[in-house]
Amino acid sequence: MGSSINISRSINNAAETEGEATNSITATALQMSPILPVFLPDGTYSCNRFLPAAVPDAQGSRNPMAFINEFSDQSVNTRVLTSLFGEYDITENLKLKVSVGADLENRDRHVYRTSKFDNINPLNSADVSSVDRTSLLNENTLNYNKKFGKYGLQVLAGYTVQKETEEYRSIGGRGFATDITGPYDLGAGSVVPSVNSLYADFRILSTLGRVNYNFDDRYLLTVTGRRDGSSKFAAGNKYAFFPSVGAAWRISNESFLQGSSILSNLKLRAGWGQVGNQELPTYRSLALLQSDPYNFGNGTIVNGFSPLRVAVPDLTWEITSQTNIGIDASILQGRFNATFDYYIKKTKDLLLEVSLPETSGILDPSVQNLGEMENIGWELAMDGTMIRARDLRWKLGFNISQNRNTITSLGKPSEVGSGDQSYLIAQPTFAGSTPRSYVTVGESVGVFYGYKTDGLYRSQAEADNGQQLQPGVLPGMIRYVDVNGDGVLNSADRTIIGNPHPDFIFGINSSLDYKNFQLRLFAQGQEGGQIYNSMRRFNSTVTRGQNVIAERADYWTPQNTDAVWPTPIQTPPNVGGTGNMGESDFFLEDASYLRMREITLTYNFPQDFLGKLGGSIYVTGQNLFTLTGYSGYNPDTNGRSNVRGSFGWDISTYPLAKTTLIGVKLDF
Amino acid sequence: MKNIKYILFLSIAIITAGCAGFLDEVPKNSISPVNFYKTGQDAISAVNGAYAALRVNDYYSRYWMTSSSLASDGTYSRLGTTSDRGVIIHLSDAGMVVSNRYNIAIWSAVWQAVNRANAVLDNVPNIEMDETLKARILGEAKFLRALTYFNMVRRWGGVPLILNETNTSDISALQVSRNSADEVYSQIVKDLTEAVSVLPNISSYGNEDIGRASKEAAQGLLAKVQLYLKDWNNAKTNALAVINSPSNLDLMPDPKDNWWTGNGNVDNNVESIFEVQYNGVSPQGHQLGNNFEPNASGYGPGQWGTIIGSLWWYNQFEDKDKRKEATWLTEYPAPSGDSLIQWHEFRFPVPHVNKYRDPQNKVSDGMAYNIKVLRFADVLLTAAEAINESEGPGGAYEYVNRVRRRAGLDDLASLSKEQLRDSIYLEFRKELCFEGQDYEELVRQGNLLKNKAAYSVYTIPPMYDDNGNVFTPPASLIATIKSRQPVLDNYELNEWNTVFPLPQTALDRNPKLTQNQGYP
Repeated sequence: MGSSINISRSINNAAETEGEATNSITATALQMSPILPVFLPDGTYSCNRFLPAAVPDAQGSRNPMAFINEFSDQSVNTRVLTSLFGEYDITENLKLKVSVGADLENRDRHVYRTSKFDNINPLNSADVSSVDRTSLLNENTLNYNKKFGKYGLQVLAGYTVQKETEEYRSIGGRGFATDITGPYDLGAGSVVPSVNSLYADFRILSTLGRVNYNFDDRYLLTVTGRRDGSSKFAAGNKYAFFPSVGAAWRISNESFLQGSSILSNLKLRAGWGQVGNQELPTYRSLALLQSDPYNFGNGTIVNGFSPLRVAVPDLTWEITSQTNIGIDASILQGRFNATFDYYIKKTKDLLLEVSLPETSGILDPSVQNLGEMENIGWELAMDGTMIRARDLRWKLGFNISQNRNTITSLGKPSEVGSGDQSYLIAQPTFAGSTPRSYVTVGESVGVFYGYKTDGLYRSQAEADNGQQLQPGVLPGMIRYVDVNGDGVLNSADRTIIGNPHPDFIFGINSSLDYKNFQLRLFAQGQEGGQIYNSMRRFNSTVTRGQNVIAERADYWTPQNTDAVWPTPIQTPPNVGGTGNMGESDFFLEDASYLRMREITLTYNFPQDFLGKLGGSIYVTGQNLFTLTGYSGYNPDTNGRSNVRGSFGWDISTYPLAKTTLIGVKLDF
Repeated sequence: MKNIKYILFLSIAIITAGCAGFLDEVPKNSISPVNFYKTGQDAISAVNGAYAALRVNDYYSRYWMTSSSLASDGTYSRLGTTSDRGVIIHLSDAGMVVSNRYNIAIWSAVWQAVNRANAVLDNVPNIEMDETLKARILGEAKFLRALTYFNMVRRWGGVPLILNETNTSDISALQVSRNSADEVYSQIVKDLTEAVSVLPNISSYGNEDIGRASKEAAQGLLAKVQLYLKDWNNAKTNALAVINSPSNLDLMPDPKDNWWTGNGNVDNNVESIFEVQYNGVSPQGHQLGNNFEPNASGYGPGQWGTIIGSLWWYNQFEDKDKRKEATWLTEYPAPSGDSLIQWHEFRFPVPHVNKYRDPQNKVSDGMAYNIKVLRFADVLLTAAEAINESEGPGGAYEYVNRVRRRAGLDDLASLSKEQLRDSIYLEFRKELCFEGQDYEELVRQGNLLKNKAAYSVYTIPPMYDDNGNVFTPPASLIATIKSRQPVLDNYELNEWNTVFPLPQTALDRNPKLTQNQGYP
């Protein structure tokens, strides 16, 4: 019998650090015109719209300092994790284990914007919300464990039940007479408060079994099977069975290798198995109505209900089948080790969030099982003790992996045949301002889709020749590629312009000990893969009176014909004006990088230095430098990680912190 | 040992409980069609939802209205054409407009409105309820569907004619082809004709139902549809039926009474026939006024000032025309309250749009005035045009002059049929200016291409100071004003600009849709 309880409470003060346009500290700090003071003479925050009227479209009512001083966002998280378990030895070899666990979490959030926050409208506002999440888990397993001479057998059978509920409520108040009460007097606002609430729950039932068989520590076999049911899927499609089998041969334990002075471990592994994915929001298989009130006559609000979503009656598990082989090897009593794995993963019934054709009148994206995907890759990890002298010891480790992702089919089997099905990932992008994350057969999931550029029209003659393709084009404008070669530049010329997935990712770690000093390094990086620098797009737009990046000054003029950037002239020709620049590969960049994640220099106090106490003093630097050609803050970011199938988006990412720590550690 | 038994027992209890229906999903925070559409109240809620589809930002609250005026000669965007906040409906730039954010957003919003009306028409007939109420609700839904199809067919030409609620998520089944404009118009006439026969008169709605589609609304809209179809006799019949309806519709005394007079009678007044209802409480408030509030002026909650007036169009209003004041914002009180800011002192020194202003309002999404879809003046002009076209000027003067007299203008008389037609056209434009049909009227009148060209010719109107004395502008101000006028080069239009392109996203999601001719 046993039980545990773990209670935690954390308070987190957040700042708006991510978001395009005017919605974050990062974005506003970059876009704030440098010729404006922080404050206006009357003490209010200045902002771009106070630029002299010579800037016709000066826009922006936010000041980054106002984001810091006049905006607060506090979350208080309280979490209780409890579990109660009992074990009962039915026989010597047969054990029953029952556990019941609860994870109870509450998050209260208070967001407040003072009357100084927005320079257009001095309306202060508060949003107070609370989320209660309850997760209950019951696991029941029977475990049989027996050794017969050289054979070992372990059998496990079990049954688990999980239930999770989440409830959310929020109140938004606006127009308070004073900022003194902050978000704590919501009823005092002069604007009718907005109230919202949500509820979601899901349940998972699993039956599982596992057999481990071991012969003489040379042959190992594991067979598992589990049948999972999830409430999130459509009736009749809730359950799926996931088998797996794995075998290993420890060659080094064979008699012909016993006593080898070089080889200390050699193991071959092979396996096949299936796993299921049910990561999707709740209730997505059901047709639902939404509440949308209206008002008549004297303004009285009346109930309204309308279609929100249509049913997805065959919504079911996304299933990945993986085949892998691997080898583990060590030589010289583990001084040098290597592990290599190769895998082929095939995923079917991909859960994708797609937008239905607008004519359906259903605006909410639909989660559907669409298509199949393949991931093929390998991973190699090596480490070794390079120097093993009395006072000097150097360990070096290296790992590298590669994964190739390909969409192999789209659409349900009955529909495939047209061959060119593809989907735009549902995402909050205004068409025409950025490429899209795209899913199409033969490509990786989430490739970038848009126009291809080919430098600029660098002379009048070049522009004259370009009139056919880009009517109205002026010298200094971007040259777009007529991808389909039909002599017309139009939306049919959009194509795959980049892949967000890296060719390789790798890591290096090193540890050097000399007498009482230790120097540890850890670096990590990727080779290949592209990132869309949306921040750069926004900060090179020569409108609204906003600040632009300094390199934008290198734009085309008749005197500067080899410029990188197009002319800021705003007259747009048809497709392919500066307006389409955002939707092109112009802001796609190579995301390769090598980052020094950590360097630590430690000095261990000699014995007896502090009497009986041991201890050390250390200096650590985290993220000290990143070698990359990427012009944004961080090549390793994805501002749209919350959207399935969206990768490689840099949306005014807050820069990664460089940290330097000095510490003393004492061992009592 | 005792405890373990309890745990075992508990565990077995959970397993047993889990067997029956444990994985069934029963959403608690929204209702499912399975347990809706059962009672008369459900039918009312369903049709209320169909009205609410009109109210969204992407439809009447903002984009439908602003795109119509931006595509006309009346206003233009002060923002750079390439800034993605400022992408205006820039018809001459076909490549730009297929990706235009307004066009994309409206295309979704209108289909939501159609689907909601279809949901009523598919589900309400099966409900056991009061038959009179049921007939009214079905009539309301037909009116709402017809209104949106009428908007669509004017803006994009023939669109898919979808007459049933969407009930599949199968994308290939949802990829439908376009119908012809004629087919769409036939359905609009059919829906409205049926709606006329079952809807009650405005005056027979109780206070709590004012704002619902009425017989006059359906008949008035039908008359307007018939103007577009040049079906003069039926247009006349229907317009006159509205004018002579037992609801005693009339014009408000002053044009500005429909907008901002502050007499508390702006909404649902004697002139109103159909309005999208707002009450100022988000999301029951609209945002339209923000676009027109002078930028950085301290006047109004939004002060975006993104859409500003064209001097050419402003100059078309005679000084004595009361609609000039109702339509154009030429001064506003300074934030300090002790002076008036004149139009030439605005940050963007041109007259701004005055309809939809709501300066007392504090929140940008809380504008309370209703948005007018159809009002009595519109029907009077419809009658005048239909009579002039079918019978000649004689019987038409009465109706057009009623509108002119209210505006403080002289009666029209002794005109040829063609002259009267042009006069009525101009009355339509001035009376209904910035009311969500500027572009549509220009196209109908065949003036879209002509008027855009007229932009190049404008005079700078006389300027006055706070005391009404003539103000002589410095050369720099004149230069600024000129620089705020649209660049004519951007407004070269072609015959195919008489409809908008389908948005690119629509073509991407449904390859069966074909683009309108002329657009890439």
